[in-house]
Amino acid sequence: MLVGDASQCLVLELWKSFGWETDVLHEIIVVADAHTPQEVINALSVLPKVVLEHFSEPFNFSKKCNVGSWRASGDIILFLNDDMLAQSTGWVGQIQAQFADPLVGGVGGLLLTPEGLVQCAGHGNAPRPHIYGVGKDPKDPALQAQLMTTRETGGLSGACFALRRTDYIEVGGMCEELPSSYNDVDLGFKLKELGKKLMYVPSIQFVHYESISRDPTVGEEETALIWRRWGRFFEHDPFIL
Amino acid sequence: MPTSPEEMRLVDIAIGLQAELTEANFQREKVQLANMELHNELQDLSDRLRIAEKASETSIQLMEKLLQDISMRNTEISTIHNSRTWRIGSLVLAPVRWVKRSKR
Repeated sequence: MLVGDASQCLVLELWKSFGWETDVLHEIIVVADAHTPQEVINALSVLPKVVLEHFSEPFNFSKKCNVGSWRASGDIILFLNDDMLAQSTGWVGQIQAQFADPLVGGVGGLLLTPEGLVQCAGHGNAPRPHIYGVGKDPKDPALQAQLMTTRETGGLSGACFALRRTDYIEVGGMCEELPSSYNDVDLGFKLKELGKKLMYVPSIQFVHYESISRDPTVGEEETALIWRRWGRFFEHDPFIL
Repeated sequence: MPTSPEEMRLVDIAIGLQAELTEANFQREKVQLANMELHNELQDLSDRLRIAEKASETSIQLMEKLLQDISMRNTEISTIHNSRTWRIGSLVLAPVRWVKRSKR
């Protein structure tokens, strides 16, 4: 499922980067904003497996994901921002393999900057929720255990977050009161409350042109809400060495 | 399990409220624990203060008793000084003192 602002045609580039992976996907749901240019809509509508879902309300990432999830028919949903490019192959199979373990609730990959540095290697939660590994070199031998090893993580980026559709619905989807930030943090904790774990799988790689298509400002209300809900988990992160 | 987007939103709100309640209880327990620790520390300080006060009180009592003793001794010494025995004794010992001095 591709969520974002398709007006910059990033979504078409993303679709192209899927390559042969498209064959094993059940469907690609594109949640397109009202201001998505008609030529992009036209281009998307003829692509194989693409299902278009129109979203005409003001920007709310969570709501867009929720709207798209009701169109999904597969067992596993992968939320992907539109400002991404697939960098590895076999990622669909790797995601499916993780869900063979019924205790796995969420799976995410390594997100890289266009320069090849880490943009996100899962989330850390102490002393506050944050993106782990920002700006680090994924080839740094000293960081292999944290950056290049499949491991359980405290959280996953909403830019690349796979989970079972049933789990997503059971936890109430993404919180629409968190329209821009922390919706992924919240979703991760809701899955953990179900007794599920979140897995960071670095062999699944995407280049992320972070916040090219949206305002990166974090709202005070969103920060307050995430602390009101999950503040007790921000004192200690058992997954960060 | 929710069967519509609206139901799913309500489930999120319910889970969110439950999480907020759990968080509030967690923070309340943390504050209670901190209060208890503070109370224990205060109690400890209060005990130590009481011991120090008691020691100071005992010290004052001892000092008063000592002053009283000194005063009694002084009275006794004055009484002896003023007594006839002391004067006679001084008179008797005067030649002895004179002999001792002359020998040096």
